[in-house]
Order: sequence, then C-alpha cells, then structure tokens
Amino acid sequence: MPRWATDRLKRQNSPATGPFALIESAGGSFRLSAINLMAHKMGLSAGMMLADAMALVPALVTAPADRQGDQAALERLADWCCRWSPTVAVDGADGIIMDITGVPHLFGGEDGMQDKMLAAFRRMQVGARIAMADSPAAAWAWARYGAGGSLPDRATAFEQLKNLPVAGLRIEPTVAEELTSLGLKTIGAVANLPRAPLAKRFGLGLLNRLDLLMGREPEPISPRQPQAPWRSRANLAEPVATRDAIDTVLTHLLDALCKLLAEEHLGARQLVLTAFRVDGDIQTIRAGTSYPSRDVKHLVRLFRDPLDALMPGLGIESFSLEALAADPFSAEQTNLETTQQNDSRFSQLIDRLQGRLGARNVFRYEPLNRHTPENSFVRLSPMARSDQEIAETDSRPVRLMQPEVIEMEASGEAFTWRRIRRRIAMTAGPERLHGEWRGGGMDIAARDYFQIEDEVGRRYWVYRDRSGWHMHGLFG
Amino acid sequence: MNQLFPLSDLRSHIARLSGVSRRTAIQGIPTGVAEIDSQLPSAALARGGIHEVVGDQGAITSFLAALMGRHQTIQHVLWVTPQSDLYPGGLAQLGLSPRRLTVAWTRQTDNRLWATEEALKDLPSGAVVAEVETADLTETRRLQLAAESCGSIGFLVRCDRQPSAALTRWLVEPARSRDIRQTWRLTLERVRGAEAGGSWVLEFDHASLCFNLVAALGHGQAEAAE
Repeated sequence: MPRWATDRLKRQNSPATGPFALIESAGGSFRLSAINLMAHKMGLSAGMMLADAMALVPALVTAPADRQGDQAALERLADWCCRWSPTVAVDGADGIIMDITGVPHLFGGEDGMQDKMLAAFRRMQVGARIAMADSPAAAWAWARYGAGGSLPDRATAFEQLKNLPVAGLRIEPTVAEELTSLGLKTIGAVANLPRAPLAKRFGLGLLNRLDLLMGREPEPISPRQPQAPWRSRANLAEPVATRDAIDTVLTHLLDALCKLLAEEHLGARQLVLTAFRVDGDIQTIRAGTSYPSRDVKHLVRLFRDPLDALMPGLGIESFSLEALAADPFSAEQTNLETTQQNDSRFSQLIDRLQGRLGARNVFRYEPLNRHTPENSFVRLSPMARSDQEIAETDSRPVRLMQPEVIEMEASGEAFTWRRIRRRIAMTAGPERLHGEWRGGGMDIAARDYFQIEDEVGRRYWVYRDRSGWHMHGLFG
Repeated sequence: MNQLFPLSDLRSHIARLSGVSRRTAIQGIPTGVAEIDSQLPSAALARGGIHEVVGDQGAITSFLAALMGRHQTIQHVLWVTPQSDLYPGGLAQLGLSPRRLTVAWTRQTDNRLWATEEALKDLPSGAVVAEVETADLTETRRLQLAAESCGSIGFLVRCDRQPSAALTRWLVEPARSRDIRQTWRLTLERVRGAEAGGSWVLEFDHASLCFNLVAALGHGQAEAAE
C-alpha cells in the first residue's frame, strides 16, 4: 500500500481532494513524509523539504504526520485481512504479508483471489498492489518494485525478479546507493557476483537477503494473532445485516465447530465470533461457558445477548468463530442420568445468567474461616468445587452490612439506628472477635459483638470497639 | 352411591379444575407445621408456581433460608438480589449451606425479572428466591408460566401488593422470641383459588432444622396479639 498514510486519511473523510502531503519536522525544517497520488503526479516526492514542495505546488494541502496512528491503522487492517488467511502479519510501515498456502482455491484460484482482494481494497479506497510468490522476500520485492500479481514457481520467478532494482532486496538505502554507484543496478547483477567478495564488502546481511529472495532460506511469518486450533469460518456470497441471517450463520458456524470439538472429545469453554464488515470494520463478540459444552442450541443462546452489540452497518461479508479454550468433554456426558442432566442444565443456566449480568455478578460463596466476619467468605464462580467446611461459630446474621454507627443510650435501654429509636428487649453476648495479623499489624481492633432483640422482635448484630457502637448485621 | 372423600383429595381435585398446578399437584415444599400446611392446596408450598412474600426484609431472608434449609433435597437455590449483603455464615446456620446457594446480583429490576424467569425455566429440582421488589400482573404471569412449564418453585420477595398470578402470598415479620433465636410471625394472606389463611408464630430449631409452632393467632389477630 504505497500511499497508506494518505489513503487512510482519505478514508476518514479528509476534505483534501487536490495534492496532499503529510509533513514532519526534521532538524528544524519540515519535510514531506507521505504524499498522495495527485501530489506525486505533480512532481513531488516523499522526503522533500516543505519549502521546496510549496514552491513547486502552491496548492499543496498539508497535515502533520502521525506514524503511530498509521501503524495502528495498519494493524487493524491486518486484522481485517484475517478473512483471507489466518496467518497475517504487518510488514513494515506500509505492507501486510500473509501466508496463503492452501487458501486460493477458496476464492477461485490465485487470480480470482487477487481480483477479490483488489476489489475489497478499492472499496475501502486504499491503493494496494498485491504480489503472490513462493517466498515472502520475493513477494515483498514484486509488490513494491515489480508489476504485482502472481510470480511463477521459484526457478522461473527469478527470471523476472533479476531485473528489479537492488532496493527490491530490502536492504539499507545506503547499501542500495553504494551498489548502484558501483554499477550494480539490478538484483540480477548482484546475484551474478561471487559471494565471498560481496560478503566482505557489504556484510552477510546482503547475502542473507539474496538467499531469502531466492527461497534458499525459509522466512517464517509470525502471525498477528495466536491461532486457535478450533475454528470455523463463513465467507458469504452476499453480505448480511439482519439479525435472523446472522443467527443462521452463527448456528452453522457453531455446528461446524462443535463437530471439530467432538472429534477430539472436547467441549468449548471460550468462544470468539469475529465479524468482518464490508467497509473493513471488524467486531468481535465473546462468550464463555462455565462447563465444557458443544451443545449448539445452548451456545447459540449464549451469543443471543452479546450479539445485540454487533453493528452490521452496510453488511457483514464474512465471519469466523474460534474456540479459544476447550476442555475434555465426552459424548456420554451429553445424555446421562437425571442428576447429571440437571447439572448440565444448571451450568447452562449459569452461563446465560453470567452472559447477561456479568460473570462476576453470578457467584457462590466459599468459606475462608477467617476471624473477621466480613472476610470469612470469598466469592467464587458457581461451578468451582470445593469441600471447605464452615467453622462452628456463635450465631451469625443473614444480612451483613457495612458497619454503621449507632447511638447507644447510656442506660442500655435503647439505641438509635437510621434515625429510629429501638427499645432493647433482650441481648446475648458479648462475643469477642479479633482482627487478623496481616503485614505485621492488626487489621482491625478487637470487637465485642452482641445480639440484640428489640421490642418488636427484630434481631440485630451490633458491636462495640474503641470508636463506639456499630450496626453490622440483621438476623431477621 | 355415597362415598366419602378425604378433604385433601377434594382440594387437589379443585386445584386441578381451577388450573392451579397442572403438572405437579403433589410435590412441593411443606413447612412441616401441620396447621400451616393444611391451609395449602397440596399441603405444601407447591412446585410449578411462584409464591409471594412481603414484609420485613431481614425476617424474610432468614425465613426463606430456613425453609430451604429444612429441605436438603433442593440442590440449587438461586438467590436473585439487588443487595450485596447476603451473609452465608448466617444462612448456613439455618441449613442453607453455601454449597447449595448461588447468588445472581443485579441492580436493574428488569434484569432480575429476566434472571428469575430463566431460572424458573431451568431449575426443576431447585428453587429461586427473587428480590424483585415490584412486579406487575403480566410479569408475575410470565414467571408463573415459566414455573408451571418446568415444575420449579419461586419465591418473589416484593414490597407491594399489586394483583398477581402467584399461587400464594405470605407476610413475614419478626416476632419476639423466647431466647433470641429467629422467630417469625407468618401470615398467609392469600391462596389462589381457595379460601384459606391464617397467622402463626414460628421459631426454628437449628439442630433438627424444624419449624416449631409457638402460637396460632388465627385470622386477623396478628395486630391484637402484640
């Protein structure tokens, strides 16, 4: 994408229609860092001083360069490219590289795939040149310095690559200049030289680049996204935007994914649905289960609420569904005795509740057996199992609140809590609870707890510490 | 032909005719106190329906915990609440151990109603306690239908007494105790499709997990007793 920096601004509805350049300051003066096609045609080039450029093209519109923004946008574009192949990486400041081994037949062969990709980029108003080759280095060179398109297999590909300028080797510009000044203008000229003197003069880097280009050395692509081993995808002939259509696609994807999981006797724990919109936008929707599952109906239900957040815009043209995590789950588990059936029914209920209310808002309690009542229990996922027993204690309230100050009358006949005076009918206690030793100091001071019943029969749990009387809980 | 039917048979027959519980006429959660259970169509708080509870929040919490605590066969109790102050220490002492208790917390009333309905549809052997605060007739009808279809049981804790499709309505208030243990004044205010009611004072025996009847106050004597 030779004009990525300016193209991406054009996509953001920049008003500039004429010659346009991005500028950055370098050593006290401004230079052009990127220019659009129009400016290029008017004789400008990147790296020019702004003053020179303005002299040549007075109508030039400029904006400050934003290299970080460019890079971030490029990464988003790379994500979007995952629709073509799962192995995609950002390549430099203006390129994307992907491994399409075994992919083109899905899109009508290499030519068909290129047409589709170019059309997609055109729709996004991003100028792009695509090259397909046997090695990443060859594709890099062919996209930037060659004619683009498919290169034939390795042996004949070099016949075409050898005529490219040496810069196509992806070497430092200074090295390229040096080679050119020596009369070595093309890759072919460099390749014909004996290797030893070349290495002596220009270092091993140059030879390495040459080997990569000719496919003598493998060059792995490190994909942007760690790939989930279980995935299903759908490339749609017609973009979809209605909820019904999206649900149908989701059901198909889940169906396919569950079959994959069944082969390995696994059930999904974490799912991610990625939607690729026509305009290049990508949205991901996640769902989790508390119990491994490959029950399509249940999984569809888990996506029901989160899918409300999906914005189809002008349409979604492709989906991918991945299981990021899966756990062993045998076929027998799917239909067994009533208790187990109820268990899985319960866990499916929990999944739905957590999906809508938030995972942390659906929980069970686990006893910790600490002295301080407020720290005696911890919240756990409802499916977490444990055999922790609750320690025997004196009576505990059924509701425990943040301690509130109460006014105890000196006579001990009544107290006032939440502005209401309550006459005391009966008390029990005290029960002394100490704080915990933590980090070398006492967490809270000792408290003396009392159960108090008022004249209507309400029972309270109050305590007295150094700072006075507090309401802490209700027995009901 | 003169044949004598026991009263309970007639009751369940009437219940079936009036469509109170289509599937599960017998199952339910009895209080274990004969005087109270005899007032209920299936001699228990019936499954396949929702029951409303109004009154003092602390008393309601401990009473429902004790009711679930008595019935260890209830595997899952889902407590839907807008509060974050439920204390498992006290609930466990009434027999409702944290192992059987799952809490669903949300501030929005419509989310609580949704969660309650979902749970009623999928907890055939469990129970739902829903602190919904308020619900209209349509909403209670939805919940009642969900419970009927699955045979589940729900307790709707509310602050108002709007018309409702629930099977019963109870008023739970604290009452003076003999030895500072939990004691409630329980009033059966309404039974759908039946003329029944009563008011009782109950205490809970923590060791045997049983309600003990302290006093039967009869209808409308609740205030007078104090």
